[in-house]
Amino acid sequence: MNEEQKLMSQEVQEQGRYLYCVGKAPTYLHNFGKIGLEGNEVYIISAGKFCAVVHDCKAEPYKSNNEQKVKKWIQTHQKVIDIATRRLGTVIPFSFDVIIKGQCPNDEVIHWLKTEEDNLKQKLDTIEGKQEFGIQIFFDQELLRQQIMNENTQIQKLQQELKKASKGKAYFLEQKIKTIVQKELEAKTNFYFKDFYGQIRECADHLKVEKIKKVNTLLNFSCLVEKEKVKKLGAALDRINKFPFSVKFTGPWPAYSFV
Amino acid sequence: MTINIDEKNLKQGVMGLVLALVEIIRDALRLQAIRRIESGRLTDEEIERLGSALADLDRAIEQIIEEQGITEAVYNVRNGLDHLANDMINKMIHPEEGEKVSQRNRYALKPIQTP
Amino acid sequence: MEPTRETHATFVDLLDRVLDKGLIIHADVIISVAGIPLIGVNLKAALAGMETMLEYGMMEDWDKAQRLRAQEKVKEEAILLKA
Repeated sequence: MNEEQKLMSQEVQEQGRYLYCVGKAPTYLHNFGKIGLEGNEVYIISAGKFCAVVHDCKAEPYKSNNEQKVKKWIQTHQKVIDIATRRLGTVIPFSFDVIIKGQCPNDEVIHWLKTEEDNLKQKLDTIEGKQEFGIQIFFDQELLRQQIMNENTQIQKLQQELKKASKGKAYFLEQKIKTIVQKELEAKTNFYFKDFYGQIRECADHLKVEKIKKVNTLLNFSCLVEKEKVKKLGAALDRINKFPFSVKFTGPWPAYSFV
Repeated sequence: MTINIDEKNLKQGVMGLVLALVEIIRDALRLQAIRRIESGRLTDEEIERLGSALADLDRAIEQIIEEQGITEAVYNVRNGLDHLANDMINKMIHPEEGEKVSQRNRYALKPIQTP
Repeated sequence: MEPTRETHATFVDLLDRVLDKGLIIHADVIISVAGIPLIGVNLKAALAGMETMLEYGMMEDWDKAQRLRAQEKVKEEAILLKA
């Protein structure tokens, strides 16, 4: 074989295993059926204490320009993890599109499972018997700003001056008002944030503060909660879910944020 | 691999970035101006001229953003830059954590593709 | 209050988790596109009904993101392209 042929056959020989999640190695073999991405057969590779839920694939990531297709893949990824959870108990979920590749990818999976056994045990112990929930609390920022402007005496005074100010002076007066409103808004949101954080923290085993991506979001948390405590969390959120705040409570999710 | 950038996309993206930067510069100017006023070094007339110029600048920026329909683009760039800056600072404070932190900064931005 | 996860509104929360979180492995034998900068944002934006869809090569970036991530930790200025 010349170099090119050697290279080509090497490429052809590399295969992949798409990784859904890791769970405790079961006492008997599991075949999940053709429930994977693109209808692939999902099954288990076990090694030592743990197993990986996989399907066979090419040694390259799944990509597409078709949004509907990608959406379906992602839903399938989640669905497989759901089913695996039912059969294996709490599992450690993978990110979407993680693939182990190699000439003998099964061996790679086994090697990885064995090498990472301690690490995996640590992670699984943390999340065992618990589920992840997303909590977002929204508030009407504009409304709060208005409230501050109406109630703050310093602002009232500045607004009086504003009435008879020239264009240039008015600009700086407005900036001053904006600064005061901003400061008070921050104080208020800090206050509520701490209050809600406290209430939610009491009901969760672990809490992660997430980035805020949408306007008018006061807080964005991921919580790891034992099944029996979820009701208590729901009750706390009911108390919070009153004007001017609104609560978005999502889940249960596999513990994506805690692995 | 073909890249189909059409004019509309590019305009949105480039203008979003440009106006975000313009806003940031405007913020810096405004801050400087306020500091000078508070330091008492300016006359009333100077304050008036400064304020008027900044007010015009604000209005012009608003107008461009509105006319070009890039309000969201600008917000996203500034939000993304905030996250980026935050992550960079975190990395400076905790370099060992840096790897994990930068991986999580997914909401930003795309490298510029040259057509 | 009951948690939900099967609605249109919660797909964004799933996306957040599945694209940005979950187990990540660092090894030569791993292909992982878990670092993809924009696809999540675009899908989320599109699904949230906003007109912010990237029209070209959404997935072509995955390879590039891989290489970038391997090379440097600090991301540069970039553009969020929108429709």
